[in-house]
Amino acid sequence: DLNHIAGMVNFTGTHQSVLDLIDEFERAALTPDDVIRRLEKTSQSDSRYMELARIYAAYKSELAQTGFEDEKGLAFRAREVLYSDTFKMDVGLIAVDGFDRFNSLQLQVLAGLARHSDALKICFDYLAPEADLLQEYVWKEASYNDLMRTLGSNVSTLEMSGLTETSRQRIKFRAIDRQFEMEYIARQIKTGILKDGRVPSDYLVVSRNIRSYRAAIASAFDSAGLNYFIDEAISLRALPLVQFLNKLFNLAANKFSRADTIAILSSPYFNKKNIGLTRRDIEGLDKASMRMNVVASRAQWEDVWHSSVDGPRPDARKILFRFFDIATPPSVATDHEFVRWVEDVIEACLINPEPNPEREPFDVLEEQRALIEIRRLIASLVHEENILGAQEQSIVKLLGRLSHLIEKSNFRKTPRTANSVVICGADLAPNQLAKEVFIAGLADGEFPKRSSQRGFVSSDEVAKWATFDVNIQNPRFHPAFEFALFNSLVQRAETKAYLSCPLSDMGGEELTPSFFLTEGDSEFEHSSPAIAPYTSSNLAPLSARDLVAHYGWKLGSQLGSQDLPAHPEIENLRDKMGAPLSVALARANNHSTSSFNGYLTEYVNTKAISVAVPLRWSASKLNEYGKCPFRYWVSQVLKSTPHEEPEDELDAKAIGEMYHKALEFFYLELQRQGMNLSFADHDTVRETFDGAVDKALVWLEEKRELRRSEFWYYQKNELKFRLQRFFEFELTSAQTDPDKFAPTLVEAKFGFDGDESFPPLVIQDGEKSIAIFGKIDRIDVAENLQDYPRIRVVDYKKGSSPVSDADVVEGRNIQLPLYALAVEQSILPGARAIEAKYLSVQAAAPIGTHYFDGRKKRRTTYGGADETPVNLLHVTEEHVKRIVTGISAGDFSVAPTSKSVCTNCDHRTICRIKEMTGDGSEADNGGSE
Amino acid sequence: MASLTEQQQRAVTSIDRNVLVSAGAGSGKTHVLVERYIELLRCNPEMSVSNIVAVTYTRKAAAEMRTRLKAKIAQLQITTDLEERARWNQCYTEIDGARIVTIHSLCESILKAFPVDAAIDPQFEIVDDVGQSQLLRNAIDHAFREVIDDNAEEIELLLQQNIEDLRYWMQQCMKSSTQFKEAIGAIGELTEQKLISYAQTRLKEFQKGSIDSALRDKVWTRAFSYVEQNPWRDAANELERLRGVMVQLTNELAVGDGEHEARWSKFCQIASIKVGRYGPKNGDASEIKAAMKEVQTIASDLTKKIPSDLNDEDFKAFHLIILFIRLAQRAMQHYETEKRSLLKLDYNDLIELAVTALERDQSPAREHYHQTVRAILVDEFQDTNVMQSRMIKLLASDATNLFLIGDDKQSIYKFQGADVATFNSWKLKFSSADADSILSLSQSFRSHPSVVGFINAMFENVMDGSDEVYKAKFEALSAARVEPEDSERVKVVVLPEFNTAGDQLKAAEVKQLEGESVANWISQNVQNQTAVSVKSGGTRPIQFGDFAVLVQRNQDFVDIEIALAAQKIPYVTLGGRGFLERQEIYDVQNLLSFLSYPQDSHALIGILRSPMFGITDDILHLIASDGGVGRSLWQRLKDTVELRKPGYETIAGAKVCLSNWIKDAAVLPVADLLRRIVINTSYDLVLMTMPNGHQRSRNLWKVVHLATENESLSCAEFAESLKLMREFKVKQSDAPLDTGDVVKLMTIHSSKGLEFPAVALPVLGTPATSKATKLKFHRDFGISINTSRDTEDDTKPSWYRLTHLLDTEFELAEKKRLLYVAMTRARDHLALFVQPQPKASQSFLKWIHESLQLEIVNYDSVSVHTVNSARHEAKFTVDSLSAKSASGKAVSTAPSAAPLIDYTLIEAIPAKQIEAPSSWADWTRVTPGSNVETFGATVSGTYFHALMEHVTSVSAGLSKEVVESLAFAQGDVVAHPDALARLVSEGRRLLEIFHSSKLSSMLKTSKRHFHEMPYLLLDADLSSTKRPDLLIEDEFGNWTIVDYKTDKFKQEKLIQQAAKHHEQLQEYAHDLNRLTGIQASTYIYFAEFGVLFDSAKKTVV
Ligand code: SF4
Repeated sequence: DLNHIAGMVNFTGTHQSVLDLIDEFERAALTPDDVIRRLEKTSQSDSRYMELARIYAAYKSELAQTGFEDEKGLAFRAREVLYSDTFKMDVGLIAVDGFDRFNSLQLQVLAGLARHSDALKICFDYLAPEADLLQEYVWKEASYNDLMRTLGSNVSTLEMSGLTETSRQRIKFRAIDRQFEMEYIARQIKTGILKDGRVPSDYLVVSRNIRSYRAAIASAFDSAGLNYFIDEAISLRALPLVQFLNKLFNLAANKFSRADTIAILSSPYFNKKNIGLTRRDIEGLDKASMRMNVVASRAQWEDVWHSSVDGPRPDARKILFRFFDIATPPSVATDHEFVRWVEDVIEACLINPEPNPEREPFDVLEEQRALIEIRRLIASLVHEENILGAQEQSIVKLLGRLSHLIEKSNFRKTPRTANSVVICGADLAPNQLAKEVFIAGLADGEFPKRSSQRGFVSSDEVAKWATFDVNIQNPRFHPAFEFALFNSLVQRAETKAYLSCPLSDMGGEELTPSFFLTEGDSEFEHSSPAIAPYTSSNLAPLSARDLVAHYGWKLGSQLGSQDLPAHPEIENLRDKMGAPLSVALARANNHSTSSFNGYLTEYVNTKAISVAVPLRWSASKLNEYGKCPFRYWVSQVLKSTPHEEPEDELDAKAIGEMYHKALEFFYLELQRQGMNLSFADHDTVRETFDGAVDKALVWLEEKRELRRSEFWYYQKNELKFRLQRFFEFELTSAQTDPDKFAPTLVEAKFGFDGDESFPPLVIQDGEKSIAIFGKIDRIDVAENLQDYPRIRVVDYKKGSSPVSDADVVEGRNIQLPLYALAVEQSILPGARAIEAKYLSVQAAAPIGTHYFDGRKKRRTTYGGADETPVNLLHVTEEHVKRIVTGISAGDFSVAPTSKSVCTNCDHRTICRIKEMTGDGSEADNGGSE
Repeated sequence: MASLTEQQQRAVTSIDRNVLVSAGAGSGKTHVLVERYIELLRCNPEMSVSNIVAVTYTRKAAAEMRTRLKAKIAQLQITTDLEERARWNQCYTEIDGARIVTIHSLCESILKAFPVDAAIDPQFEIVDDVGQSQLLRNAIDHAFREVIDDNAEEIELLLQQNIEDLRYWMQQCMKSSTQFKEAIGAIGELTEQKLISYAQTRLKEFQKGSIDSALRDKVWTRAFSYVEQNPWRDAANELERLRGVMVQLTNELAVGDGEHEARWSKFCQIASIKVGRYGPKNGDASEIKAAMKEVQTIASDLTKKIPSDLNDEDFKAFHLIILFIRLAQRAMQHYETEKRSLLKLDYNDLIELAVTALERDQSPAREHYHQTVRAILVDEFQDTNVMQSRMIKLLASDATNLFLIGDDKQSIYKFQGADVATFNSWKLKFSSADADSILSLSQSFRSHPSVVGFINAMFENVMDGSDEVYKAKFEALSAARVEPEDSERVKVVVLPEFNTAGDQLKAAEVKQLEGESVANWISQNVQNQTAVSVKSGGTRPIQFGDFAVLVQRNQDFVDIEIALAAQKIPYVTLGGRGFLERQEIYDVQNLLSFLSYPQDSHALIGILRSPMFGITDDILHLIASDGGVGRSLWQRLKDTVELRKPGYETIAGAKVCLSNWIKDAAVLPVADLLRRIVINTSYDLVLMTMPNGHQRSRNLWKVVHLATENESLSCAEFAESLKLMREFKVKQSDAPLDTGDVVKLMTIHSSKGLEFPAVALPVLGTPATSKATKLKFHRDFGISINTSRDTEDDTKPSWYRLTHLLDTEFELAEKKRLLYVAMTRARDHLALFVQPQPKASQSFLKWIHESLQLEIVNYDSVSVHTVNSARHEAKFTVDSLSAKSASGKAVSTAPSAAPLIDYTLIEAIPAKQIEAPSSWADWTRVTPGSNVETFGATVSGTYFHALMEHVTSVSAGLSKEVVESLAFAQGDVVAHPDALARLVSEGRRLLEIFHSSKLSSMLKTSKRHFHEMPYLLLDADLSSTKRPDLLIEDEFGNWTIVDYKTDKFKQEKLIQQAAKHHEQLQEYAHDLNRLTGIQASTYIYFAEFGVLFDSAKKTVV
């Protein structure tokens, strides 16, 4: 019966938001009736506020049915009891201290207690507005007035003055980023400890939001060699052990995906022994599953054993699936059953973290505590069920709840050293004096922090409630609270309070120093620039690194030539850095002839290494060298490509093969039927084509390693669709083609050993003759008007990046010219290759044409109508010679023939081209796109 | 408010009405905003900051405004008037929470406060870039599949267009969905007929517009009046006839009435009048012919440019457009649903939903803001787009006081849908309501008079004064700074065209030269200690930090960076977004990929080649090429190391290192892992020594930072996420760098709102119009698509051509404003780096050339020139370079003499190890597992203590409920019913024993007793709290301290066991005596046996 908030009742966030509101009601000591009555008074009977009040009522009554109370509920009860006349209790004195604010509920309970005691003394830190010049206490004003109202009648106030301002120094500074800020702080502290005989506990380091500082602190203090302890809850998920368990619990839900399964099996937390797998088994599983393109699902894992070659041992199969069984939860379960399953899995698969020499004792302890925490979490599920009664839920839901619990649990690290500097968030800072206090991150919006109250307790809504005489204003969110907090922090400093702020955060956003820092000084930003990095690191280094950093920052590439002060640690570091430095320089100075950049000729000459020179060269490999020698080296010599987990998505390779197959089938069929695109009847060829496509699809589906995703059906359609699109294009171009080219050979192999139907293409380089093999997608013969057959070589490309004559001339792409040569020399001797065409199936368009007979170019739909008088075939031969020499000489230098070849190169991340050509700023027009 | 000029004064005090202020560059906009804000408060005592909304363009701006306000209010607090003070005190505290925000966070706050009204989840979050890209990709795929699957009409699109293009277009449309929807709105109902008529109307309008502008054109009128007044003497000559025709046609057009078609064809006739062949050969007629030609050219230029009517292609295109819109809408649908299910909103949603929330009838949100918001101030108003301005309208009630301030000449966010039209429409609305509501601030406090003068003259020429809504009207600035004119303030550096050999310089060479001359200009100024003004008055010599080099696009940086580096000029490139494409990031990614999956050989190659290890390629070659088929590179590397061949030492080291890291990677949080590695390898230090080293070494730390922020990602997952971000072209900014005394490189866009003592503007030649995309959409004209044609005669759809024209006009207008923004950043010195010949027909360079008439300056020497415009003129210096420009001396940074070094700090402070407890309680199950555990002693122990606490002298027996609920309270260990049952029975057992024990009878007879009585001891400064289990006073007033022990052991061991605890009890007794003077005997109660043991007498009681 909700309609005002009907729109959002089903949002998960709504529930949280309502609970927040209820919490505020309870703090304000308002029962559902109180709220409802006041709403009725202010004629809000039909409003979202009334609906919320009714939810509050419902919540309370349901709670009552369970026979439990929420924590505030107890206070309500206490209030009842204390005011009931039957209740007797007799206390001499009740003393209250340590509240920085009161909520109405607390006060009413106190008032209740007061009825039963001779005296109630409350110690409350507060100044009346007129005395409160700094406005430190305004945020408590409401609290205070409430206090007076509730206990008012017979309260006598006695004023005690706090300790007077000590002569404390305020030191303000700014740093480039949080890390430099922390490095400066670390320096102060280390100096203090080592020189002024301070102890870690003399220092208090805080920031409003410690999260944004965690990385900075760790980096700075570690490099400075200072022991520190960040007193802040971390996410359980941050612990690899928990990540492992989480993967494990969700393994079945993720259909035993290869990546997860292998990750779990090879994790040190995994109890191989107990499950019965050996390291070799697991490596075997990994290899085989990779080879068989296992993506996920038991069915696919079965395939692993269909592969004959060095698959995992047969028994591993049984074991693996037993493990899968263990990791498979019931599809529906009660909390009890679920928890039992979780515990079984843990018992079976986890090696309990035990102290061992390999590992930091504290890391292990942390893991143990994490486990206990998890136990607590699942126990809470059981508890809940004990209370609310068992009911079955889907496993998805249960897993969801578990990971939510893990997400939300607040897990604290424990200090590891007795002498560590404690760093914590402002509201957790211990309320005691320290010699020196550092308050970092004094940036606008960070400290003071903006109220983050949203939904039903947002400041706007709270204000609204007030108009119904429902006051749920929480002093904690009073704007002045932040200043009070800040001030109290400063006052904890006996001698020095360091106030600081970074210029910008790691996200690159510039920060404005908070008013707490500038204190209204408009010149502040100019007058206090960021302290330059590593300023005094050369005078009093915090570590060898620190000192070297100083010079590195200042001298850059000359660091190598700078003689550094003699100190064992520094020399030590220097030696360690020697090699890397020289590499860095070698590359930066663009030594294209250095063995850092793939240039191995010297080694080949001195026979230190050898390059395998094949009897027959593969056309496509030669082509790759033409793009970039290094690229060739990695793919063809090191035989390495980026690791890709198998995917459901058809990979480019499969798609390409399928296209080729389809077209092969099609043209073979055409020939068989003696048909020709340029005159055949459209409908019949279309039929034939569709036939071919279906055949190709079947062919594709029969490949074992093909993964059919849930989208397979659609993917099939898309493949079909693309091919048909391409076919239509072929059809039209066949009709408008003046030369009436007719496909005569498809997938024509030359120079393949074993298949000698056509000899290899041989190119003479002086004495040396270079034999080349390859496979030509299609060879068309023109309707013959000359005395020799005129042919065209065709290549199907999956992609659609254009190919131009320039690519041939510069040796980037000589594939089709090579084929043309092959046709003339070995496949159809006597024929003349007059044309070569690259067709993109994907785009259903030609993406490049070469003419070898110097004909004037016809208008083409792709750009680049460049007239090159050069004889492409001749040029190609020259390139082949150059390439073969290059390869044999071991010249694999990082030398792309153009930027364009880099754009879709697999080895971009490892060739380090950027270090040779200056680390280019990426194209991006400052937002103006 | 003394510090206010009279103009500013007006802007500040006019709080009785809505005001729109066009504030020129450097005219103290922010100052006025702050003052106006204060003024509002001052004049409305009942008003509080919560009643005022201030909208700024960036968070930074918001922050600055807030701090300024706070400072201002702080001063106002200092008053003797108590009421006043209280008032300002309140403002002072509330200002932190005040709504001084960007439009987006304003909307966010509205949605957070009123999720109900927008029907969204209160816990919504903003989707991040990766997330969005993923969602978009899926949505689009989904749409495609749908279409292909049920063979919908849209399939035609897929057939006609390159699918990848389509995909790209749709992404564009969905990323700026607001603008796209607006564009659709512009068309109205989506039928081809509708489109056709719409297009025709727009075309006519445009033709009409251009006829009129032609007639108004200065050149035209001049030429025409000559033509009109100078009939050719020989009336019989064809020339005279044509003249007649021209005059007649023009005059007819001038009348302005009549069918548009008719007028257009007349205009076309004029365009076709060719006089070349006519008239006498002797050139007598040259004037008149020239004049006629001028008229004809103007006309024909237009008729060539503007299509006459729609053509066949148009009809194809319209069809496509409709299909495209449908397709896009499909995709958007999917996108929406997905987003919602993930509780995500994107930036468009923020505004649109806020608008929805406010727009719906009787919206509580609107009501709320109308009640609370009494004034709205908007900064940088020129960059507000339609949706945003709509949102502001909604927020304001009639009673709300609006203050909009901005500079239409600085509107440069077209791509975000902002345009001057919005600005102008508000201007119109305001002025029609009240003429005084339009104010302007035209005094520049920023720039030197000579710079101001130059900009005025320059832009009066560049920005035509036309009234079109999408154009900014040029308004001159006046310099507030009083300083003598100085032609040196503006420098035009002309780059050479030919090299010393006299042949044309190549583009690359020019770029290099340009970089060098920028560097020279900077270093020379620094060397000559050129003066710059100080805000507080006076001057100081210029420093590197005073310079900014502004360019249009990030890719323009590189040549300048190289040049600056070459001359050792310290610089920082701001707003570089290429973080993810940096080599050092690749390295980290490879490293993590390998460590989490050592089979990944490719990644391994990457790491080994990186300076972290610096393995040379010959070694890799060897390792890889010695057989070992099917074995991963890592395997082979390990094998090779085993062989201990000479020359392999380097990799031996690498192997050890990597093996350790692999172990660590499995058990350490990724951030900790990375940090260790960076520190151990000092890779960050190595990076410092490379080009752009500062940036690179900081970037390395930024990754560590990112890893910390994503703490819940495993090593592998984090590596993957880096890869994903790159795939989705997510822009990550580089790590921040020192912006102190270094030259700043940035794009003009990011220089918005900033100012610099000296500004250099290189790379001016880039064409001002981006190359045409096949799809266009804009709220002004709707949508157009270019068809793909294989036909020989290549006629584009007219509608597409027209929209292209319109779009280009917008773009040019905006680019002119961009140049304006760039130049107005300069305070004291401005340098333009120009090539002698503009290539592109429209470019900064071209405009500068035309406006300064550079073609007539002599390039051989330094010379002073004047730029003239209708109302302004200013001097500037031209400085032309020869090809071999004397490159400025490199600024030397000689390493300072080795200082005395204090090594006291260099050692790490050894950790005082806390003795790590051997182990915490290990895993015990909640649910009964395979083997039924009994609890640890601790559990039953604490439980027994809890029970005893409730044992009172009166009731020795405890109710079932109490026993059970106490057991229940033992928490997670006994969550499970079985466990609970076991514990309860355990408790019962011990209670049984107790009841028949001496202790029980003691309690019964006791006068009073205290359970777990806590006390605090303060000795010196160490404090300790203790709580003895039981304290009994018997009827004779004798006191006894009792401690419970639940340990299980053989009864004969009683004495030894008791001895263990004696000391503890002694302490209790001793303390009790200190605190109260009571002498108490000390008993131990062994629950297992029900034995009470006197620890002092060492006897059973
Ligand atoms: S990215 Fe360019 S340079 Fe690097 S390997 Fe590939 S092609 Fe060669």
